[in-house]
Amino acid sequence: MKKRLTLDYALAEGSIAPHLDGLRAGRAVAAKCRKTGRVTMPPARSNALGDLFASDGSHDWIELSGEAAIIHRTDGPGGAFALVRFDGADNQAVGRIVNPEAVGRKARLRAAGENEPGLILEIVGDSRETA
Amino acid sequence: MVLVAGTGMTAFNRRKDGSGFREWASEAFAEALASAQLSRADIDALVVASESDFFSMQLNPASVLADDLGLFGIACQRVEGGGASGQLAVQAGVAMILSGLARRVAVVGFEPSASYLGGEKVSELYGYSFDVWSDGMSGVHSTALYALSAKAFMARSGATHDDFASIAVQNHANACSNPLAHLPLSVSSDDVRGSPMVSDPYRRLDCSPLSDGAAAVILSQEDHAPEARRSAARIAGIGSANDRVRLGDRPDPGHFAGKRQAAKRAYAMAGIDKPERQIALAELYDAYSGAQLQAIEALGLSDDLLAEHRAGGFALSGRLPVNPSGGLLGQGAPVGATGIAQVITCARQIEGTYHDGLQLEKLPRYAVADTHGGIATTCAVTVLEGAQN
Repeated sequence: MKKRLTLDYALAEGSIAPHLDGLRAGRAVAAKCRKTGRVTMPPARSNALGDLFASDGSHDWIELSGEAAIIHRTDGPGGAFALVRFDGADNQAVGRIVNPEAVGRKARLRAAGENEPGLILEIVGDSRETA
Repeated sequence: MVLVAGTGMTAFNRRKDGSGFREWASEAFAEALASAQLSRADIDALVVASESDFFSMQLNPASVLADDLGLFGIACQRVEGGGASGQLAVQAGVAMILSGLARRVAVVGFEPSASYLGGEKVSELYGYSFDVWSDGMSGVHSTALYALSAKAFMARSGATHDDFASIAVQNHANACSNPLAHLPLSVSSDDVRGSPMVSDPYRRLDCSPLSDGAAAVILSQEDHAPEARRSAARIAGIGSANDRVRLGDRPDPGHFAGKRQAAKRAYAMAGIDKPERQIALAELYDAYSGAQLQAIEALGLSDDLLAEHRAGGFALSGRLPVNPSGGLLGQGAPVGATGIAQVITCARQIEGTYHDGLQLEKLPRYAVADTHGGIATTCAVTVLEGAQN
């Protein structure tokens, strides 16, 4: 039997809204824990001490340069993705590469636009065409 | 002590006969109940495993299946933990018996592949297995995340894609003797390397399929099992543990730390202190070929992982046979049923009733079943042992 379902979600952005707004605008807005000093991009929701991210005064929002070092990268017909570390961040992040034809070890955050606030990366620096 | 009193599973494949998950679950349950030599009235509780309502279009499936299976007035629940759902359901059933809440528990897992939705949609839906508020918004898919983890593992360990390809070859070959397997294939490493790229290093033959199917076990407190089933395989230890949901938050994105912790707990409960010596069979979560090596490492099943792998140590005739069923790569993966099927393989191997051509000559004393959801984020490990212990 056939059944058709079309859904448009409007997900609550909650306490990480500043980070998601940053992704839309191409700004690397990271969380800096006030107790540990650890900088996370994407933001952690708790710290190693067990404090929850959303508690009052747990963290500050800081803006990083948006430059990132590529740690690992994978390419395929479904897109190119990389595990990167943003300059100034203590964790790593997974993002989509918008210029998969380029190779290089450095990337820069690109604006995601108004729809889905994903982490979008552009390879920069010693890039070249591979095809 | 909890016995695996009965086992039953359907073929794992893509159904074209018009049947659905309710028929598959009934078939698996009936076989398990018969092999346990029990009747419906003997069952105190039902635990159902299914990962996603996106595919079944059925919320609260435990209520529906209880009705279908003729189980009324019993304790009834669903367990969900992504790819680990099936084995977490087994562990929930074990906990019910050990706590005294139930004497005999039916554990039934299923999943429709929903292949009619198309690969792109299914891939997107499974992408919601990860952190939707971060990774999910970038559009990253399961294979890409596994590929990034594999690359971290390769960089640290020295493993190559040739190592991964030989796992795909072996698991598909094992599946050739498994009449219930989805992808029994005689392929070479060249075939794997020549199959279409999905997300490097993973090619199509490195990736497990999504299957239709169901699996069921009947767990029983030892004193409440039929006399003839008192020698059935038993659950010696269970353990579960999580890891950071995002690869980027892990100290080593190529190491399955949650799996290691889950295994430690299961081994401790089973009284195993040298898993690399005491475990004689492993059914591991090879969602992707490289994940099998990552799992062997995390489970502490080898002193010299790559050397032993390259020497055939994990082949059917090796020191530690891994995935004689064919694993997810060969047997297939109806997600909610997967972990239960692993337990079934271990139990039947221990009892000596596994498929001809795959049954180990020396019955394993201990076997381990390993399942996870996410990229080894929600991990569940179960140790089974023979009655002779």
